[in-house]
This record gives sequence, C-alpha cells and structure tokens, in this order.
Amino acid sequence: MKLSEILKNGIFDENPVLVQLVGLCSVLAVSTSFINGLSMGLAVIFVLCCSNIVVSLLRKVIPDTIRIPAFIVVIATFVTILEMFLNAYLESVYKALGIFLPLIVVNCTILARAESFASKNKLIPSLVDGLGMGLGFTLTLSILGAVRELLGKGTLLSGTAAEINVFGEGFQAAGIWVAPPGAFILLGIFIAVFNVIMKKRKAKAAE
Amino acid sequence: MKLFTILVSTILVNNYVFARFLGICPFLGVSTKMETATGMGFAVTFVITLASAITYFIQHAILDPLGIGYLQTLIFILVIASLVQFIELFIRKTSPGLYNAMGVYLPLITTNCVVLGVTILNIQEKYTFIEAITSGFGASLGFFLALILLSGVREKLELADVPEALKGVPIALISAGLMSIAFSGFSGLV
Amino acid sequence: MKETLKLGITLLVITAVAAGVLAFSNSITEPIIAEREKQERFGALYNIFPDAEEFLEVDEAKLKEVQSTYPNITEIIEIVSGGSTIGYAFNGSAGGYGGPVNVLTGISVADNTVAGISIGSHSETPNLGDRIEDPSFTDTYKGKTTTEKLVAVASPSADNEVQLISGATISSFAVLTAVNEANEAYLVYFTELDVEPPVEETEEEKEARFMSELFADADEFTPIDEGLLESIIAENIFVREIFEAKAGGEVIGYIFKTISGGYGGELPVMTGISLDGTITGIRVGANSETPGLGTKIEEPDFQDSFVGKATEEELVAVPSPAAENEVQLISGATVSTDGVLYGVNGAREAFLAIISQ
Repeated sequence: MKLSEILKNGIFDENPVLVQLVGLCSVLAVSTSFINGLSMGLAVIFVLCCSNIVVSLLRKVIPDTIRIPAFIVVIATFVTILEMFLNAYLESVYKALGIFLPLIVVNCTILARAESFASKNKLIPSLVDGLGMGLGFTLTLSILGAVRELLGKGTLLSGTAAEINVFGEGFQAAGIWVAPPGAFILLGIFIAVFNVIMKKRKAKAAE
Repeated sequence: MKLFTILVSTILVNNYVFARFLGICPFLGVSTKMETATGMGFAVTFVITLASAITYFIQHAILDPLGIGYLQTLIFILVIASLVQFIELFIRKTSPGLYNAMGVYLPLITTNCVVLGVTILNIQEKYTFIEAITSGFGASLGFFLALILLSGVREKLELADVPEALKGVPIALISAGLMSIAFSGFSGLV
Repeated sequence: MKETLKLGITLLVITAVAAGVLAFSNSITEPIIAEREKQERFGALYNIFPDAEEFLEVDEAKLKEVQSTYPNITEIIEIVSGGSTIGYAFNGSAGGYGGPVNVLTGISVADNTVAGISIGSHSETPNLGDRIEDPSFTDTYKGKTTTEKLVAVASPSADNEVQLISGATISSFAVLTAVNEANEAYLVYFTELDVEPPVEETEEEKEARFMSELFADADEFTPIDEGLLESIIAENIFVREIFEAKAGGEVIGYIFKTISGGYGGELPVMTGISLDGTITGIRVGANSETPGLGTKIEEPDFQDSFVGKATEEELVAVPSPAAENEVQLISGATVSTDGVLYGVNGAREAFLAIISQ
C-alpha cells in the first residue's frame, strides 16, 4: 500500500474508535473536553508509533510463539516512559489522564497494530500506520471531547488559558454530557453519523 | 463493614462499566447474547479475583520493598497475561466442558481494561489483601451485571425497529448511556 | 524442553532490556517529580501558616506511633515561628469517588483549631468532585474546632460545621474524614488533652456496650424463652431478638433488637424498656443512611428524646416532642426517623405482649 493510503486508512476506513471499536474505555473516559481528548490522542500516537517502530525493527528477532508477550513488554515500556515524563514535565496532563494513562497498555489498537501490521512490515510503513491509526484516534477523541465540552460546560478549550465560554458566562449547561451517560450516548451517535458518511462515500466511489 | 461498602461501591455506585468506563470493548463485543455474556462474566470474575490477589503480593513483596514501583504497569500486565494463559491451559486440560463455556473469552480478557484497572486501583486505594480481593470480586460482579443487563436489552433490540444508521453498536451505546444514568442514581449510597 | 527454555530466555532478555530502559528513565524523572511534590507541599504549608519560618519533619518514631492508630497519615510536619511551635500539619488521605484524596491539614497549637487545609492529588470527577479544590470549600475549614468531630452541611456556620458540596458528597466526605482523622491524631498524640485513641470495636462488642448503656444496673442479659420469642415474632415483623436484663437475678427490663427499613437499607435498632413500661433508651446499629442527614439518628439529640417515654401508646415523631408518646423528628430525614420508629414501636408492642403473659 502507498504510504498516503496507509495514513488515510487509519483515519477513515479502519478508524480505531469508530470502525474497529477498540480502545473505547479511554475514549469514553477522557473525552470530557477537547484538550483532554487531544492529550490522550497524542499520548496514544506516541506509544503507537514507538511501539510500531520497535516491533517492526525486531520483527525478525522475536520468536513467533512469544510474540504477544514480547509486544506487551514493548508497549508497557513505552507507556511507563510516557507516564514518568508526563508526571515530571506536564503534570496537568498526567492528572487529567489519570488511570487511563497506564491503561493505554491494554488499548487493543496498539497490540492489534503490532500484531497485524508492524510485525509484518518494514520500518517506514509501520511508522506511518501508527501515525494514521493514532491520528484517527486523536481526531475522533478531540472532536468528541469538543462536543461534550460544548454541550456539557458551554466552553471550548477548557483547561487552557484560551478557554472560551461559547454561550456566555452565565450559561447553565447540561452536565450530563460530560458525565458517563453523555459519553455513551454521544459516542453512539458519532458512530452512527460516521457510518452514514462512510456509506455515502463508498456509494459515491462505486459510481 | 468496610468490605460490604467496597462490594456495594464496586457493583453499584462506582460500577466499573457504567461509572468508570472500564471493560467497554468486551462489554460491547460480548453482550449480543445472554449466553456469551454469562460465559465472559464468569471468566472475568475468575481472572480478576485471582489477579487482585497475585498483584497485591507482587506490589507489597517485591515492588515496594525494592523501590521499583515504576515497573508496576509492566509487571502487572505481564502477570495478567501469564495468568490468563495459565488459566486457559488449566481449564482446557481439566474441564473441557468449562472450556467450551468460557474458555474462548479468556484471551480477550488480557486486554480487558477492567483487569489492569482494578489491580492498579487496588494499590492506589491502599487496600489490604482481603479488601483487594473483595474489590476485585465486586468489580467483576459489577461488570457481569452490566453485561447481563445490556445483553438482555440488546437481544430485545434485535427484534425492534431501529433506524438503519443506529443499528448495532450505536443503539447499544445509547442504551448503555441510559443505563448509566440509572446507575448514577446509586451515588451517595455508600 | 530446550525450545521452551530458549523462548523463556529470549522473553527474559526483552523484559530485562525494558526494565533497564525504565530504570534509566526513572532516574531522570524521579528527582524532578519528587522536587515538584515537595514544592507543592511547602507552597501549601505557607498558605496555611503564613507566619511560618521553619518546617520540621516530626521524628520517625513519633510518626510510626501515630501511624499505628492512623495508618492513612503519611507525614507530620512541625511548624515553627519565632523559635516556638505554632502548629502541626498532617498529610493524610481518605477514599473519594475516583480514588484516594490527599489532604494536608494544618492545626494551630495556640487554640487547637484548624489553621487551614489544602487538597493534594486526587482523581475526583472534573467539574464536580474536584470542586473540593475551590477556596469556597476549603476556607470553610479555617478556624474550625479540632476538639469536636467536624460535620459537613450545606450551610456551615457552627464551630464544627464545614462545607458539603451537593452533588459531590462522596468527595466532600473524603476530605471531611481525612481532616477529622488528622484532628484526632493531633489531639491524641500532640496535646495533653484527655482524648482516647479510637478503639476498633467489633459489632459484638458494640452491641454488648449498647446493652450495658441501656441498662446500667444490669449484670446479665439472657435471651427470653424460645417459644415466647417465636410467638412474638409471628405477630411482629420487626422483632428479631429479645433479652431479659437482670440485676442480681431479678429481671429489671427487656432489650428488643429489631430490624426495620430506613432510607438506605436495613435499620437495626435496639430498644431498652424497663419493667415499669418506660423506655430506657434506644441505640441504632450499622446502617446506610445518608451521611450527615439520615445518620443523625445515631446522635444523642435524637436518641435521648426516647428516654423515659411511655409504652402504652404508639410513639410518634414531632419537631418539638413534649408528650409521653412524642419523640424527636429529624427534619430532612423523615424516612430515617420513621424507620427507627417502626423498630421502636415494634419493640413496644412486643413488650406489651410479654407483660400480658
């Protein structure tokens, strides 16, 4: 596959969140605001790319029977490194992600990409695949976060200096959107909308 | 008394699926039928309770004394993965019937965030050994409960007139959201 | 076998390399994290004790002593100014909604009041539970007493009242618990005040204590005849157990253990009724009533209103009890009050059934 195709694949056709339906725990929990969603997405991109790189480099070295545990070790190592450095240098992000930071280890996307792509492909394609999947994840998560934030708090970019109260200071938003129920419902709607869009695209491409 | 509080908290008030967002992937993947839900529920309960016990020991006997707490994520996930492998082999050899019922779900449990989540939270909450096991057991029961509830709803949804775009996962998620609202009524119970 | 060994070793090598990488990263990041946490802590201490000049770690032996009773306290710091100790700061934690909530409690030695609190790391819900970080919440702890247990209410005013955030009760109570613990630890270990460290009572010990409190003169409590108990339970859905209170072999009264329904679940109630038909008192056992509201049924103000009441008529709860059959109604906790009343009225009827034998 061409590199650009690999990239687009991760964002659209095999979008980890909306199509593959993996890593949903983090999606639901951390999409409470645009910034939170973005932070988690970037964290996943980091781990995904690093893990894909290492797995691809070592793909001829790791024996087949123990490949899954080996992948897990690689992924867990990068997640832990990320944890340490975030705690030291970007404490607010570390706190915002909370327990979902170590849980990136069990984000099925990363293990799945290691298993199905990086272990069978060269370095550059693996890196691009990681980037594509990560971008798909990040875009979905950030947009979902922005919508939840808007509906649930009436703000955008909350948590940064650039926080905007879109509906004005006195706006009483429906807190349910930033709470668990809102996450479930909005994600369901997102997936439905995404499916409709993808179907239309496919129909158009087929014509 | 605290054990009871932990149980009520993990099963109802802070249900791992509806309030803490853990275990969503299997939650959606396995809840299409009551049968599969039950199989997964049992498997998860087994793994989490055992994992809670083992990781407790590892944390207090190895990680803490040696000051290598930063290896927690790595060690815990390896323990869980090995535990699952071991349990799968064990069940396959000793009870083919049981293996048919829940064995196939076991590999999926490794990447089930509930397991890793529970074990990490047990340490964070500074539980004692018994409390950790209770918390693990309660978490799995809560997960089990959520699975059964949703699969019951989904079986009925199969026969309902759902708009095309919402069929499958979207409507399941929306149902889960409504259930989550219901469960949030438990807050303040303990 | 050799194959398995080879695989095992390969995996071990990979893990060892990983561990090595992590150890290296740790060596870089750990000092930074430790430094930052120290900054946070001292920053918080200055906020609580602006006149402080020195912060001294209390000596290890003392800390261990405190931790033997209060294991959730991780650190105690002595605040010194102008050569004398002006206060102590306790770093403790309690379980919140999303995980442990770390609270720094500063106590002024001069008048044994809370100098202030500071919320440390926690995982409470953004925009809901994390409001415990707001000054509007933490300021309500300033100047409050340490000699009485603090309670969380919607509009705190008294010396022992602090803020309860509606919609974030669990988070609010986590902070409350941590501060109350710090206060107690301070009183027990750092003052000469006569405060007993809390003794962990088992449920049985608690019940035995209740029974002796209800009949101070009794030296023996024996269960009544089984047949009689069964015939009473058949007519009375709340009664579970009945004991005779005896002094010197003579029956002086009865204790009735009932279980009725409260707001949050089962309500075990113990009622003591003396032979002359007056209530000696009631005690409420382990329950799940709403903290700060329904749990007022555990307080003396409520329970004392039952003492001396008569048993011929049904007891009712009113805002200002006066008559022989009136007891205290807790406004805002009517369900909990009613739950207790069902139990006590059940005991009352059982008593009347016994003496009519």
